Amino acid sequence: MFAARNVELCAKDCACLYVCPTGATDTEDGKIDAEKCIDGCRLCVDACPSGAIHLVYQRIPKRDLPQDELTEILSKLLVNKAGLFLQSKVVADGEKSKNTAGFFAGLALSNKILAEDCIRESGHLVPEAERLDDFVQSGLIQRLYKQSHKDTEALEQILSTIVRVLREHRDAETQAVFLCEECGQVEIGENPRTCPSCTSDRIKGF
Amino acid sequence: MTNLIDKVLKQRKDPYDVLGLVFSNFQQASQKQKMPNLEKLFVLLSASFEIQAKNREKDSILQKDQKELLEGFQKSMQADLDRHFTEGFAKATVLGNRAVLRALTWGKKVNAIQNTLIKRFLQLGDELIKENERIQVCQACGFIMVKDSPPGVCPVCKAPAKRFVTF
Repeated sequence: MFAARNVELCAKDCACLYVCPTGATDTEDGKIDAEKCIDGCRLCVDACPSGAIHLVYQRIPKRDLPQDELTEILSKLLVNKAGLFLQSKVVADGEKSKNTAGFFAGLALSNKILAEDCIRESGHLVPEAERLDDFVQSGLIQRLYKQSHKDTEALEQILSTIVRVLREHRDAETQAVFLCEECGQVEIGENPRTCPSCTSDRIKGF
Repeated sequence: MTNLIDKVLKQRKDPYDVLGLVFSNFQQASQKQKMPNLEKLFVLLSASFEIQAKNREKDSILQKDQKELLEGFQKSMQADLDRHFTEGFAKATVLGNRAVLRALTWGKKVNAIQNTLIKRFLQLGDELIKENERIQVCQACGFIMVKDSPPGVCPVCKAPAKRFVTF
């Protein structure tokens, strides 16, 4: 567990600077240095008069999955809301009238939130290494992706990076990643400039 | 994860949109866990699957006129109201699952509010949103309304104005 600062609440009271035994709170980028922070110490959390510091779990307590019958119902709601999200998004993106586009974009976001809520309450509030690994191993992600992309190497690499980071409970710098905004092809490492699947040059880097 | 997805697969063979949402949900979780590099990977995957979903469905969605499409929305929402929310409430109450009850309580309210807004849009079209007015959506629960600025607190989940997105 390490401390993190919510800069929206921070009023520069600086009590954290005085109580921190390692100087982890004394930074200029607004963030608390997780490397220096002492696991579970919480002196700064209690000292902050603005309530701007909290502890973040590195090892997230495992959450029980809900009863099977509830997952069944949530899955039906999820499919319906995901469908409404997608349809609204497509209409909003292609709509010229500002009001109508706004109406559909709003419906899209509203349904996205309802759909994500079904996923969260099915026991997937946070990604967990084991459960996500099982999901990756099931091959569904790759099967769907393959239907419009020949090369799945970058996708596999990205999925295994995610599982590794989750297993190690530690965020790690990764190579640059790229997305083809035309067909959804993903790449890691070098910028491909043109998409190897659809030859579009609409490549976005992250 | 596989349990939920297996149930999704029984209803839909190629759930690109659902995968996009699984990843966008984990994107938010990584942000809260202060893992910006992991977050980036989920942003990428979520965007990729959303694009793939759109590319596959776009033509059949745009074939319908907006009235037909929205009537389809209403049908789907009515089915949720009649069956899934009702059954979910009953089961979650018996099983004592408060987390699911919470999601269903807010979801049902938002479902009803969306329905009212769609009805009004079907009557008024573009005129639904008057000059200086915009669509306001609460990012915490999905509450949606037409107003010049976000409400002070969300009437459904009590989130403050800054949690609202304006379109």
